[in-house]
Amino acid sequence: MSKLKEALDSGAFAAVAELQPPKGVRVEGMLALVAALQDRVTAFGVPDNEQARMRLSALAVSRLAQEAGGEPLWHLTCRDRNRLALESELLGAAALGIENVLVVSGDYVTLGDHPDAKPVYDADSVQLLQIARDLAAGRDSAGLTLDGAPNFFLGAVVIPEAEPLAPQLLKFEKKVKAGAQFFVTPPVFDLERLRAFRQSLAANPVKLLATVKVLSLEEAAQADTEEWRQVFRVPLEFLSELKDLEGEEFSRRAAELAGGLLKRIKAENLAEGAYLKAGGRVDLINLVLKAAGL
Amino acid sequence: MIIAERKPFAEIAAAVAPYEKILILGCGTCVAVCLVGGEKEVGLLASQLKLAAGLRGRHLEVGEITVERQCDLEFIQPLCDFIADYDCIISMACGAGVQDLGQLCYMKPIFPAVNTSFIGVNLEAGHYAERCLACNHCYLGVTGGICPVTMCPKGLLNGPCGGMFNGRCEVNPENTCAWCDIFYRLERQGRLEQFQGILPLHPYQKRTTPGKVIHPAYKRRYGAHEQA
Amino acid sequence: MAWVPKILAFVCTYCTYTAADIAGSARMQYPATVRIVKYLCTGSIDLLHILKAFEAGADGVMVSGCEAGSCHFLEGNLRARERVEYAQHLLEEIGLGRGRLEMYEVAASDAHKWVAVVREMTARIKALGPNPLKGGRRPAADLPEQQGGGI
Repeated sequence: MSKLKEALDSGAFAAVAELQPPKGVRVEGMLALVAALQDRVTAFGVPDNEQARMRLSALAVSRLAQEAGGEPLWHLTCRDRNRLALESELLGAAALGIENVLVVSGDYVTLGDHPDAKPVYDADSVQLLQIARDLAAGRDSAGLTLDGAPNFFLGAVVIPEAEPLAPQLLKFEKKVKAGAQFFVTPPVFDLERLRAFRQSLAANPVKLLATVKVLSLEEAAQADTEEWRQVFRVPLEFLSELKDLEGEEFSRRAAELAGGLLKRIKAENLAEGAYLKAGGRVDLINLVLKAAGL
Repeated sequence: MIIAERKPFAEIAAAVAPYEKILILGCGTCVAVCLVGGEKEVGLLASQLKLAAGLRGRHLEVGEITVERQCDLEFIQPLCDFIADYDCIISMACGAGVQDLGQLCYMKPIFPAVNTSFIGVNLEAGHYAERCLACNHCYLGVTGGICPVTMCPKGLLNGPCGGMFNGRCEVNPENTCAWCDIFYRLERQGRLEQFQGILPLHPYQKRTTPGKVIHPAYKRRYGAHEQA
Repeated sequence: MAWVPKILAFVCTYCTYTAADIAGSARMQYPATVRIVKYLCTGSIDLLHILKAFEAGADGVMVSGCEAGSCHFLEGNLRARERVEYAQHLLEEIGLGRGRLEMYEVAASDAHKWVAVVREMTARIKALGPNPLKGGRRPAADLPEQQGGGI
């Protein structure tokens, strides 16, 4: 049984720390994070070629994290696989004891480090949720019966800050209909939109993990420019708190600010849990948790 | 119509470098409309080839013919008489035309002068945009007349992806998000319920290449009724 | 006998042609290098006319139309400019270089400018040398460095 599901169902505030799969096979550092944090967080997020940049297989990392004592939240992107690969990997994950799956469309290939790669998108995220749900019900997307059905705790992404919001909300409803049991937001810096989204959710039984991110120096510098194409917004007041800071001082302050946000999210009941992104650094995640009083 | 772009001259010149008698064959349909392979462009390429050869002290014999449609045997068959006089053929048609012609004149080397880009529309003179991927499974009826397969780079069928920002596409922010466009169109028409239904997985089987279509009225002639 | 460049001037009847006419009537002196071809509008100059001129051995081609905004047919001169730029690209592709072709704007009253642009074009073509296609006088390898386009 998924600890993440248990935590979200029980109303305990869940914390998921994101791992950073290496570009290569050196996994010690990443696994040290699992060992250091396994008692402090509920699960470990494992991105799948995040931002279309090739990294060590998310499924392999999920298994390694599990062996190191952590519970993985495996991301699965539609960008890199056709439906045969998506389904067989889902079965593979289940066979390895991985239950938590976060289904994502995936950033487009031209935005990543292999811009000439063939983008797949055989299924979109709504259809992939349906596929996973069908697998759990004992049949594949072609309608054929499985010999032993997997069990998943299915998540998807929702973007409360989307502009315009209406089409995003329609897609969110489709994801709920297709079987998503929990949702993860992009990094939140301004709680206003999250509050509004939370209120509109009243009738929905879905669980929400708000992403809290420790900004890096480069991201903070970019957030101020026109080129900024991330799906989250960083308010100017937030950036001004980080102004003129450099190196470790910057990271520590960014982690404290993230911790402050997390504290407010929890206090206002804006989410059932948090998804923490800190570039795979133990010390920063510890700082965030400490600042949030978790 | 089919939109194409002319290949760089250096590529064409390198391909036909061994030959002295060259026939350039234009096509008077799509590629003529998008200004890359019609009669005028045949003349320009012929002139360029002759000038470039002259600069190297060579003399080329360059023939120029433009047919109505290169993708139709009916229009290219009469060319058989002329082709014998040339060492090679440069076709300025789309990929379909080049192959049709190549099949007809299978003894002659044939070289394409254009890169076939997409099926698209004429925005204004010299400005074209893609609109159809020929997926053989049209969704336009439920997507407000805007194609998600083509206009969304990811071909998503159930709404905008997470990268949509201010109604713009993450892949190229100059483009609007296809799914936002679909939303607004359906909203304006009072048909948002079309957006709410989940579209199932796309039947890619319908697009197994090479595709083939037999018009129902001709099924008997081509023996297709035996399979059906 | 010294080589004298042959330059084809494709000119608009409403502006440059009139300017050239005034220059002639006023006995203004300029090099006898241009052969004028009169068009109803530079907008009707075809890319093929330009390429064929070079095929036939012209050392240079100048297109001269109305000043921007004063075309008798509203935007013929703007189209001519687009075509000249594309023709320059085509000439560059084949290795003849873009310098032998230029677009000018000369108003009907501006005979002095006509004289100036003919002098300028003549100097440019003299620097570039004869059209290497003319009778295959010089192989391509011996061509002098060609200067870039634009004024």
